[in-house]
Amino acid sequence: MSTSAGGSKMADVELRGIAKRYGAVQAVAALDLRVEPGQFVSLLGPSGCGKTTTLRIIAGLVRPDAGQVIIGGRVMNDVPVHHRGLGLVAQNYALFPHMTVMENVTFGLRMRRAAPADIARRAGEALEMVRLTGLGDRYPRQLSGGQQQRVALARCLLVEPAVLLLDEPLGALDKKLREAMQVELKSLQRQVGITAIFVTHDQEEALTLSDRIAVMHQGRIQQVGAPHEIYETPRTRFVAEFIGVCNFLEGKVIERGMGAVTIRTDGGALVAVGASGQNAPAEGVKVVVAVRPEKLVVGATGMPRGTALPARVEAVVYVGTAVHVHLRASTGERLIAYRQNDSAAPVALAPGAEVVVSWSPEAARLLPEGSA
Amino acid sequence: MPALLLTPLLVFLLTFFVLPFGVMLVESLYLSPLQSPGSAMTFANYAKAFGDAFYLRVLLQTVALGVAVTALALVLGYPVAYFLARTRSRRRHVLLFLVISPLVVSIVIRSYGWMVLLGRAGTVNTLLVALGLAERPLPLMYNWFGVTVALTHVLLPFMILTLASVIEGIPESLEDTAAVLGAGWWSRFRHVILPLSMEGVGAGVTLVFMLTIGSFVSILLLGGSDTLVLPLLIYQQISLLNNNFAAALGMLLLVLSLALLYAQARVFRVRGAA
Amino acid sequence: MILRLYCAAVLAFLSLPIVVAVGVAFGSDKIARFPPTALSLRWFGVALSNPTFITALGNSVVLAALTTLLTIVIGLPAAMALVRHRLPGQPVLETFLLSPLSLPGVLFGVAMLFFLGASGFGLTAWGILAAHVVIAVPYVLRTTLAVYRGLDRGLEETAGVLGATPWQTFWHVTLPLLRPGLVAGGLFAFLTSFDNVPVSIFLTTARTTTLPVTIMSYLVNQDFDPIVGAISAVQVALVLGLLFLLDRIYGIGQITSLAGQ
Repeated sequence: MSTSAGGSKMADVELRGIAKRYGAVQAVAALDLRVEPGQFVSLLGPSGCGKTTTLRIIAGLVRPDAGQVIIGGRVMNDVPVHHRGLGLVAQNYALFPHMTVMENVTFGLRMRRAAPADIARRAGEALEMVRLTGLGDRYPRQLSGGQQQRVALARCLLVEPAVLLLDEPLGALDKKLREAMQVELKSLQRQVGITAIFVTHDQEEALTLSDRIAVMHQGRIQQVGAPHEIYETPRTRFVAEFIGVCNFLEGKVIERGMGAVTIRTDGGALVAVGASGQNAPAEGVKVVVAVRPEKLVVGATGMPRGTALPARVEAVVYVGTAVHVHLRASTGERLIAYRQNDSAAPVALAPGAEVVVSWSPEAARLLPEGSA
Repeated sequence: MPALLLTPLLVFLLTFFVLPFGVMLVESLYLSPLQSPGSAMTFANYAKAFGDAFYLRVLLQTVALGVAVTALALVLGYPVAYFLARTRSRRRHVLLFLVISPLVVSIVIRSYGWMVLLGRAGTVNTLLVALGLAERPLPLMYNWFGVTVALTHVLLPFMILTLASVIEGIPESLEDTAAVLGAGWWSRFRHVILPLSMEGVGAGVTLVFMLTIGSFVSILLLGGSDTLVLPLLIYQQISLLNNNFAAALGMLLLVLSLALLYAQARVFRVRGAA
Repeated sequence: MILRLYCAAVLAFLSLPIVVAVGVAFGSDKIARFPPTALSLRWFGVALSNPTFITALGNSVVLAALTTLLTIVIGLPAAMALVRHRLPGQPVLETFLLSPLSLPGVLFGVAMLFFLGASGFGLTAWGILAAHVVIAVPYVLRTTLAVYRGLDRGLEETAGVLGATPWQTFWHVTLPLLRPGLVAGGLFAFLTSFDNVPVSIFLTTARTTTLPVTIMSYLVNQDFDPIVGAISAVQVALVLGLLFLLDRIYGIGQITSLAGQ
């Protein structure tokens, strides 16, 4: 692509107070989001959380009930779809079945009446960029899923959009192909330098591809942050639960110390959570302690500092790279611990074994109770 | 925006479809032409239609013909519909073509063909006499027989296509399972196919009946002086310049057709049809 | 199997009168006879040199062509509006728009007769055209609705996002994809107009007569002779040829399901 640097093209996106209701359902409520130029941001959430609606609002296919869509500093609310200068790749690619690959790819340019020689050249470059050279005369139905997806991408990129919108574009591909396409997609985005907003319900995909993730639930954004932030420091129970696996212990704050907060769980255990950077809640407040399975240590004795709970092993699941240990604490809570398979020695744990589960205070997070 | 696209059609239909029936309604309530109204509104035309035994008989004949043709079309067409629904692609194509072709050929041409076939000196009679099955040519035309045959012929494809579409929706695995469990073809038909196709049967029957009672051309050409049905009666009355009475008869036919249309739209939801 | 034989018999029954009507045209007899005693093409000559029939044929063709054009022009946007927007009372609206299909032609013919008389328009060719459009437009509407409903909405949306104006989207994306529906519907509209008797018979005059009405009066008045067979043969050849062509391009299964039967 001749203008592949795209520096002048990539725009920032800002959503202010976007809301949309369909009948009795509030699909999107008071949504605020900022996407920097050139960033890859994912809207992540379960079906029905409003992520696709939000994307369509940005594209101009849906009119929001309230709020503003600002792209490249310009308020787009009253700008019709075909004047917004965006790109959209849908889950089923929406390739025009009656046009060849070349006609599909050059569609945007043809509608803008670009010079034919220019079109041909840029189309050739675009096809090369997605590794589809030579397939220009084929029809979409003659291509594989992966190839169709790349045609859809090339078609978008050729109009040099300010922002690229992707609605679960890899959903229809099988696992291996999907992972390969993820890598390609990300490198393409970097190379072209385009702002991308990506909708998905697959948290692994979001973690892999994104510069920042916006986790959505019931029409609202629960948390926005880099993948690492989202995973290690979730702010709500929903986010902690949706991304990866997490252990939860419900309880009440009983003491606020200098570097740690002590919680008494509903089961009666005492848990210490590091207060680093958190606004420690007052005593008596109900909270949820969240600990990731890979932070739990299972052994005969507990760690020197931190929480240690006696527990019984209920099941041991071998998944190749790790061993998942399912435990029930003496105080009744169910826990899962992941132990990396870093030695060739066979697993020493067996169901029924009495062990001690422990973790350091920094490994645990305090989350508000409920966190809908 | 939607209004803009829909308006031409709506306006057109309102002007040239709804309005004419309105005029017909008005005509039916007077005894003299609309252009020169001489008397007041009256139901005299309707009284005449229902009061005179002759006209009642015409009405009855219309319905009876409808029932006869519908029954014939159903019985004759069902097996073909089943066959069509169950055939594989190659032959199915040809079959569909053969079933649809008569529909695109003008009804006048089809009726003409029947006239050649059923006339006194027609093909059928010539054949019957030649084979010794009849002493003299049989009156196969200008009577109810000819009319019924011609109408059944015209309406059979409608029945077949409607039924086939529904039967296609019945998974063949149901029949296979029934067969494995010991059901012969009649049992399979009675207990599996027929019950599950009732919606199609209803739709087909309503459609064919509606088309039969509105039939005009075939009956005009192949019927005789005593095969009078409502559409033909209306035509006759117009030719006799009894416009107002014809209008009343027309309203009768309209009400009957609308009732059937309502039944078809509400009670039977046939796949694909609007 | 018996079923196969039975179906063959029924299909033969369905084709019978058409074969007969066409066959008669190749006969040399003075009256229509099937099978003809001797073969001859002279009735074609007689038919083609008959001025009444030729005029009527010309009228019918022009009328049918205009009908088809008009039905597409007003039917296509209506179909698009119905699919794109969820209008209040849509099922009722659709049933209404498609109702001319189901109502007896005689009824409508009579009603139009009254209307044209009362409104002062009189029995003109325009009146017949309007009537033909009314009875033909449901065909175009139905097939276009079916095709448009089956289209992926995302295609038009994507075209919009890629920068195509609504008109460009319609012309480059929607229209090409709607073509099968328009062609099938257009064909049925053409045939409906061309073959129509029940409506036309009330509205035509000596000047504005159509071919089927002419044939009708011929048959009703003068007893039948092979001239009708000749005309029929030509018409059947044309129509079946068109149907065959359509089948080649779109497949007859699609046309049937489009026709909603």
